[in-house]
Amino acid sequence: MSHEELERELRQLRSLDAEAGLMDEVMYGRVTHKFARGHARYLQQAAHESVQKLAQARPVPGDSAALTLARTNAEHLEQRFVALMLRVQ
Amino acid sequence: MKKIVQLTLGIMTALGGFVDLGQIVFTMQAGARFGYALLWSILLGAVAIMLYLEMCGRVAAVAQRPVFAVVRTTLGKRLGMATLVGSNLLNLITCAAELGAVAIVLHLLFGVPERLALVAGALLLGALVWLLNFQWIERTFGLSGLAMIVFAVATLSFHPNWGAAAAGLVPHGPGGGKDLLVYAYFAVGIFSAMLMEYEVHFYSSGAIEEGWTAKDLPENSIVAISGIVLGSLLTAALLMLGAIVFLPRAIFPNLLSTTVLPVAVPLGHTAMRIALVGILACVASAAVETALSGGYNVCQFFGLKWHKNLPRKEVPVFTGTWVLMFLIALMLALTGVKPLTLVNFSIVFGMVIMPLTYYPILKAAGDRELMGEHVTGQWQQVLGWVFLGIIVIAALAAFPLMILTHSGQP
Repeated sequence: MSHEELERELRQLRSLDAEAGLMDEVMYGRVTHKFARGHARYLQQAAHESVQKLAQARPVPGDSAALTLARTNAEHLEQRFVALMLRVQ
Repeated sequence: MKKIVQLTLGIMTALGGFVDLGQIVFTMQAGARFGYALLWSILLGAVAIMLYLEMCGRVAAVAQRPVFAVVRTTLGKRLGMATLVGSNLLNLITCAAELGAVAIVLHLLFGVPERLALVAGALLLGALVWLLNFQWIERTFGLSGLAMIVFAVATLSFHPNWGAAAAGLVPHGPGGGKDLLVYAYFAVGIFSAMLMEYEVHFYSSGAIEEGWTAKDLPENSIVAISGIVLGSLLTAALLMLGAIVFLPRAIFPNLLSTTVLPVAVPLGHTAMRIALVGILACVASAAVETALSGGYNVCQFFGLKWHKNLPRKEVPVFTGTWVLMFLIALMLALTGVKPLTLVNFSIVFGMVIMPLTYYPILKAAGDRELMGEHVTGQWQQVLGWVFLGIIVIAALAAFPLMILTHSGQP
């Protein structure tokens, strides 16, 4: 994975993380139960795709630490969305 | 009084049927990335589509020549055939994307499994098109699309900075480098989404379906202009919501479901449901229009009989083509390819082949022999050529920009 691709992946993870925060804001009372469950699943799928992509990635020299961090972030994010899905079951 | 009601209905239908998946996602992403700075591309796209929609309606009403009859005579058999194949491929991809979006919205509204929603939604839409006549198809989908107004209400509830919005109507890029390329990609994408070819295919065929003649030219102008002005305001509201809700939070909306959140934040769950219904109407309408356009294009190009309101036995190629378009699009959507991936591709591909659709319309509308006293005015011709120049530049830039910016991803 090139440095640029890794940076793009990190930005997408930050965006998903911010969206998790927005979901926390609106989840109770501002969206329907069905929407919350459906949207949480789409977010979890997006995080899962990131986890898989990062798991298969080989870092360019100098990016090992950043890739490890990205993998950890992606896994945490996926778990966060799984927890969100469980909360709205 | 009857005329006023008809006109109002026409405008409301044009407004409700104007927005599609590409516009919803692209404009919100543009707002999330660049704030109000790309509002000018909505203005540019609105003027261009208004101009060309009026022209293709005029040619259909006066010369009884729909778009693909004009394409064939202007471009010749070979290039015309290439345009037909390209346009119908584009309609197919767009139809698959919109059907995929229908399934997502049904899943979010009712909790039904997405695959079931996809098959049921496509079959239901197919049945509606099979059973309803043209006017009812147009009105049913167009009027339900009015639920999208909730996005404009949400925008107003945030009390936007109107000064900044006005500044966004003047192009000003973000410095240089990669950001400038992404900015250009979104400008081209919004412009393309507003000028998607199926809109003119459907509008011009609709004019003939409804039996317009030269007497209906004032109605053509009023409907084309007012419907698009209102539809563009709605598109601008989507961009502004992206700027207000997503930009400060550094969210890049990559999911269709995310685009509903800016309504839920200020207005709550009832408004959110209305927003979902509005999106459902828009994407369902676009799926129907693209499938029907497939049938219209083939028949018009080969000079075969077509009309939605004729008995199906009398128009077998037309009926067979739109049904086939629906089925292939459904199969494509069932492969699991994401609607937003398809729509990204269709917007760029649509831009690339756009000059081949718009040039023949411009040429026919300015042809005195064909149009007689109803030929387009000089100013409209000049403006048409200016916009065709912009379309050609955008067409040349579309694919390189998509590759260089990874489809505008942050």
